[in-house]
Amino acid sequence: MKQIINIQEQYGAELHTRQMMERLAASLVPTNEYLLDMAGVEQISRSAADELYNLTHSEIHVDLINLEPFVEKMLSAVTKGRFLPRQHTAGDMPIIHCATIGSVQRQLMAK
Amino acid sequence: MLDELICNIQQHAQTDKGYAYLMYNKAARTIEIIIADFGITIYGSYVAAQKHLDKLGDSDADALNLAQNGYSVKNLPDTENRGYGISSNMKMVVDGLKGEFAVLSGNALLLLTANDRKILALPPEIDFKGTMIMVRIPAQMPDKFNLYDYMS
Repeated sequence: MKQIINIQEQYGAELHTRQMMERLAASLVPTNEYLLDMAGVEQISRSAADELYNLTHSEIHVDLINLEPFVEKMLSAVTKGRFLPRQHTAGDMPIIHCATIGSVQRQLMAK
Repeated sequence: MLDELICNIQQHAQTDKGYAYLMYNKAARTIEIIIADFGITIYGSYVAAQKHLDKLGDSDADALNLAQNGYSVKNLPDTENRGYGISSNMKMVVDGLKGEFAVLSGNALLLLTANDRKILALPPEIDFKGTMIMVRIPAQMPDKFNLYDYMS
């Protein structure tokens, strides 16, 4: 039987850190099955969502229920990102060698 | 963004302390944020993780160049897109929020605005023993800004 965990009761309505999700993961027993009830969790940071993704794809059997709209969108964005190859599209930045403090100042003033 | 930058300290800087500074500049109507640590620098993070050493070069400026181009120090081969980090934050701040982004790490300073992008290799007398990320964003978010455009 799946154990239901009310996330909002235990961690609040805003999930903001990787550590918070790591604490959640550490509290779960791998041989058990869990339903994480996300009702009332209104906000989640990208990094917390990323850790939640890790948890739902770990060896621990975890399902999410009652996702609020924002949390659902963030998890969807994170999931999508997992399947995209890393892009290195920014290209190299010019590296300017400044020999003196004065040259640094000039670079800082330049627009 | 703050969460991710602060997590970077915990995950990569090899220090147990970080510093956060936030200010609302009423006159300029901007929000200014600084996240700093006295850790091993971005160059040191690549070395510690043994990642991208073939591309790293031998200077803090080279390390900043790798970081801004999305080369992650995370070691998750199956989820290579994981390292959200500096490059994604830069994109969100400058392209999305029309702000400015700067990173001081060791002996190098990266500057990114809408009109300018460069890395300064600093003179030897400037050597920050850690990493400082400085962000300035307008207090009024641009109408067309969509957070999810910068999440993947």
